[in-house]
Amino acid sequence: MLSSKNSALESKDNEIFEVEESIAIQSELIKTMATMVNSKAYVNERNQMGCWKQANYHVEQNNKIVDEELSDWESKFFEVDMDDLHELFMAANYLEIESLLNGVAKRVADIIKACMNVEVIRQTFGINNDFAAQQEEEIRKLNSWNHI
Amino acid sequence: MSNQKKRNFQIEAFKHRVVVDPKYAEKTWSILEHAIHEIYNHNASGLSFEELYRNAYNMVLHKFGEKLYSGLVATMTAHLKEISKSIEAAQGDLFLEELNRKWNDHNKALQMIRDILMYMDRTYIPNTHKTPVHELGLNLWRDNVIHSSKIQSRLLSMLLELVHRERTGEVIDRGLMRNIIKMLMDLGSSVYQEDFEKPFLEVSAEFYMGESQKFIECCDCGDYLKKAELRLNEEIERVTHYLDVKSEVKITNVVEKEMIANHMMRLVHMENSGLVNMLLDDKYEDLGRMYNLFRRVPNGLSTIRDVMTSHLREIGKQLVTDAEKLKDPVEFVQRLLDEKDKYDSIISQAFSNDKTFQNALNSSFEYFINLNNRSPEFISLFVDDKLRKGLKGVSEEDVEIILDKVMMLFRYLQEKDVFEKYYKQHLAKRLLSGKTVSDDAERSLIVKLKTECGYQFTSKLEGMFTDMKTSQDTMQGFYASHPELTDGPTLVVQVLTTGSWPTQPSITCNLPAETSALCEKFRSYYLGTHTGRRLSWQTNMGTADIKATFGKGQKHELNVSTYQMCVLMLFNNADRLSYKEVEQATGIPASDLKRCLQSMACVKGKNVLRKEPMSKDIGEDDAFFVNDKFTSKFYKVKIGTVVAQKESEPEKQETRQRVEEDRKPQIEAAIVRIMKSRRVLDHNNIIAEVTKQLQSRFLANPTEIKKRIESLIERDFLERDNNDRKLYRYLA
Repeated sequence: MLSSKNSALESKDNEIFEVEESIAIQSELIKTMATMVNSKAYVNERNQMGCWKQANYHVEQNNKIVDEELSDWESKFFEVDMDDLHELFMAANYLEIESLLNGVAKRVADIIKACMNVEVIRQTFGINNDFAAQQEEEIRKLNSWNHI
Repeated sequence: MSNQKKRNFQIEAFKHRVVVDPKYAEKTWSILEHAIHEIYNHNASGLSFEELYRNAYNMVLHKFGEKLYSGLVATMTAHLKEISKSIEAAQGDLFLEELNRKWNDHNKALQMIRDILMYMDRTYIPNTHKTPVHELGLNLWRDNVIHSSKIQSRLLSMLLELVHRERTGEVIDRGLMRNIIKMLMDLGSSVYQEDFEKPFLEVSAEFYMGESQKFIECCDCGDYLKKAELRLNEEIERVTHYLDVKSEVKITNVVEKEMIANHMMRLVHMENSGLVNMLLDDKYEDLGRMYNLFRRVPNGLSTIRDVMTSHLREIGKQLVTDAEKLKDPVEFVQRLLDEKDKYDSIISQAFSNDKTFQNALNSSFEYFINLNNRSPEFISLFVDDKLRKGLKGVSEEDVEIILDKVMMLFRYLQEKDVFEKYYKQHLAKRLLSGKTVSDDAERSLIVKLKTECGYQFTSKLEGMFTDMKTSQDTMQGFYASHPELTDGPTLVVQVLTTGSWPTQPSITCNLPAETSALCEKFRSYYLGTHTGRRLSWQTNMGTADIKATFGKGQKHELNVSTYQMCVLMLFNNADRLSYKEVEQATGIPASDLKRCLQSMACVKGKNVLRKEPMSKDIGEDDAFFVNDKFTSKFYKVKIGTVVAQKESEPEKQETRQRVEEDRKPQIEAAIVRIMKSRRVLDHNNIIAEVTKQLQSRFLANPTEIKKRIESLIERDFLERDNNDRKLYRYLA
């Protein structure tokens, strides 16, 4: 394990980030790899691109800011377009950074809530409608009390 | 991972990234499969953890978890089958070592694989309720290696072989055993139990059955128990070193059953070395070992207890019915005390003061002490002996100890009222002859009796002490008011209150002139200060000191009884007296007179009188002379001291009769007490209640109780119910 306070992490696009160790191990994955004696060399590899930087930044901020301020800062942080949000989501999932994962999930949930109906959700998230017309009718009927 | 991105500048729409490569899953899986191979082949160093993790992650993310999982199962299984073959190939003792080595390898590999597949473990597996990776690894090991037909039985027989070797004294590789056993435990408690523990216990049972059979044929009880204890400890130690701690109680049960429970009776009753022999020889260590081993098996301790009890009762019975031993009451009681001490010691040193054993001891003593109906008398005689001379020079604490031990025997007596009667008699003799060694000891015992039986028991005894003290004061007063008497013969009078002292028939004899005058003076003095009382002289209880000068001028001081004094004084006025003349002159009853003359004429060293003819017995026609040739080393000669001794048959009968008589009113009083409070009661209940109430004094005889009830009915204290003959009613 790298004994210095900072660990060097390399992303797939070969950018190297110096990250403080305590922050790096917020990621479960990195924590696990750190315990592996023979994968020293490979702690350095990352695949998530700029997202790593953002993820790192988020975690850093998390560790510094107290709770009330957090939500303000978080909402600003997560106001990115869908692609970036997606990247962030995948990065958090892959690296197993719980706080980041929760933040992103919350943002997505908010987005879903803000949508008017199913159509809008589909559009926003780019989901293909794979229901047959008949099936969709049935489901609507069943859930009509929900005012979808 | 594809890099296709469609930037959409409308409202935040999003497009999925679609994986277009159809062989994507195949390619990814083969990378992982290759990695697993490398791990099992100890080539893990060349792998990139992160890359493999990523691959697994992506597979699961893109819904290929199923493929990943089943691939994992297949690959691992294949490897384990190979491993299994290599273990099977190992020869002899190397088998276990090879198994152990491969197990360690497998565990390391499993850990690495688990780390790589962590994402699947976290997401895919819980969702599909499949077995997590680590557990899967263990199960596959179990199914393909441990339970493989060629390995399963071989493993078990090797393990049992090693245990057997160790039991026969060889040294085995305990570390290896521990690892293998731990492996079985890790695979699940049912694996440990089915694949090892159950057969282990069965084989152990057989082994110990054989052991115990072998030992019991050739060892004596003490040795056998030592061996059993050794084996037991050995098994416990074995468990701590390489078995599951939960097996301890199971294996000890096996040893206990085979070595102890199955042979319990035979051991206890073993000739020349069994329990009874151990008790007789005070073998504390052996007894303690037996106690500790037997308490582990059901009925173990009760077996010991029962044998001890019946043995005790047997020897106790022998003790109390052995005619030889009964000749000396003091010896008899001492033997009882010694026996009690012996068993107290055994119980405290070997049986860890077990209360149930103490109770068994007490009940046994109670049983056999009461088998001999002279026990109360003998115990009183023992006390008498101690208080006369036995306690001379003994420290205060030791006195207390001895008295406490006596009290303990007293408690076992069922007929405490008989003891009371004898104790009173003996105490009277002690007090009147002034022969008690320690006043404090006497009083201490009275206090103990009072604590045990209550005030009523001891009130008369205390009265006797008071009388003695009062008499002293009276004598002082008498001589103070009659100064002229100080030159003549000295009179010492003890005034006894009739109720407190043992009843004696009062027979007077004719006192010599000098004495009777003095006695009269005392009588008038006493009655002068105590009007309304009646005094009667008890001439059969007194003593006298006489100065005598014999034919050759030898002077002696003789200590004699009052009767003897009367007889001797006659010879101041006559040289020769016939039996009849003596009888007439003294008025002493015949049997007493004969005894009195015998003690003075026929006993060597005390023959102050000469008898013609020189026969042992006193005949009506005998003649008596002063023995001028009398000699004695001592100046003071004691003749016929009134000593307490074992009663003769007729005396014993008399005392017992008196005791029975005394019991009648006590029974009646108890009946009346009970009926007064209950009003109506049936026959059986009356018997039960009365017996209970009188228990502290004596054991009431139901026949006697019945008689008393009849008597009370006659005297209109009770009546029978008209309808039910068995029901009684109290008449106010």
